[in-house]
Amino acid sequence: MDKNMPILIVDDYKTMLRIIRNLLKQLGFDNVDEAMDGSSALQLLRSKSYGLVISDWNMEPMTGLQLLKEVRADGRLKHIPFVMVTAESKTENVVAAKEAGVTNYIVKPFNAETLKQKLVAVFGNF
Amino acid sequence: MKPELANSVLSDKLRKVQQSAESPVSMEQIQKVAEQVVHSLRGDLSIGHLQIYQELKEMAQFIKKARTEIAAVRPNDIPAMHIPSATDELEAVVGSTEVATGTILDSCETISSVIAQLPPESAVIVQNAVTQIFEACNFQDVTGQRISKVVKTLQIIDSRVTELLATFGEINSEPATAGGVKNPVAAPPIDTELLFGPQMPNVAKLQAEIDAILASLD
Repeated sequence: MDKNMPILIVDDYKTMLRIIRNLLKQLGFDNVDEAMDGSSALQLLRSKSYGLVISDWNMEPMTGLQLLKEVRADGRLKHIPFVMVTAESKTENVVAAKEAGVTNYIVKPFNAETLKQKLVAVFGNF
Repeated sequence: MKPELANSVLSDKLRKVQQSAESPVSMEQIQKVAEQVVHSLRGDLSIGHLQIYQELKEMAQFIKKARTEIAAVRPNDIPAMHIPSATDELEAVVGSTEVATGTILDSCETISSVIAQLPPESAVIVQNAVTQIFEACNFQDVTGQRISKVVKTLQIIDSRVTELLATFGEINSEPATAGGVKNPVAAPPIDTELLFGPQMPNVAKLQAEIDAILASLD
């Protein structure tokens, strides 16, 4: 896999964006864009080709789940791997995300090893 | 007055109050209507009359007692003071932890930028430590979400209390001044009254201001 592929991270908390960006950098992924809400994320996704989306769930006005559904409904975007990183940990959340087409699901708080494992699950060893 | 007539009079009065009211009829207004109907009963009373009279009297007394008990807990302070204060404090917590976490991340990124200059063994140790700090900083996001939930709960309580206050009408919960004096001289605060806790960031005094106050008292 190409570690230079553009990755989009979406979260309404700046701190979390920085944490994920830094952890991705440690894994060798340095080509990272950020969005603080679903609408901005969709704009970026429709303007540039991304290899991965990592998104929070609990955002307003568009939640991460709604963003996922928008991505999966768009013929040009539906193939992009989408990893949900969220504090939402109930069974019904995971089920809903899965039914909406999520590629993988990480619960907060998470560690670097978990992030790596989930990315390996999506892309294979790197 | 026959019981059916008394019921009809009560219904008519309540309907007129409701129609003329600009907002939902309050318990105070219902209490007044009940008292008017009770006082309007004249002449020989049957058992039915007495029953209605007794029920209306109990209803008026209940409402009066409820309003007195509610006034004793100073309900107007809840939406006016306590809840805004609590939500302000919680939002200040979120704000300050975000600032502190940002500072921590700044330092971590600085360290990360120079790791390559370290001997390999040291670089691994430092890298692992920095990673652990990044992981630990997850807390700020999770606590922020928990606090947001608490704030929303407080806002719901606030709106419910406001609705209840509207239902019971004007409740004067101001304590009576001693001896009827309108503007009593304030007593010096006792120690426990001085425990205000941290001030909001936008009103907290800076060190220079504190130093100036101390200097002015010399």
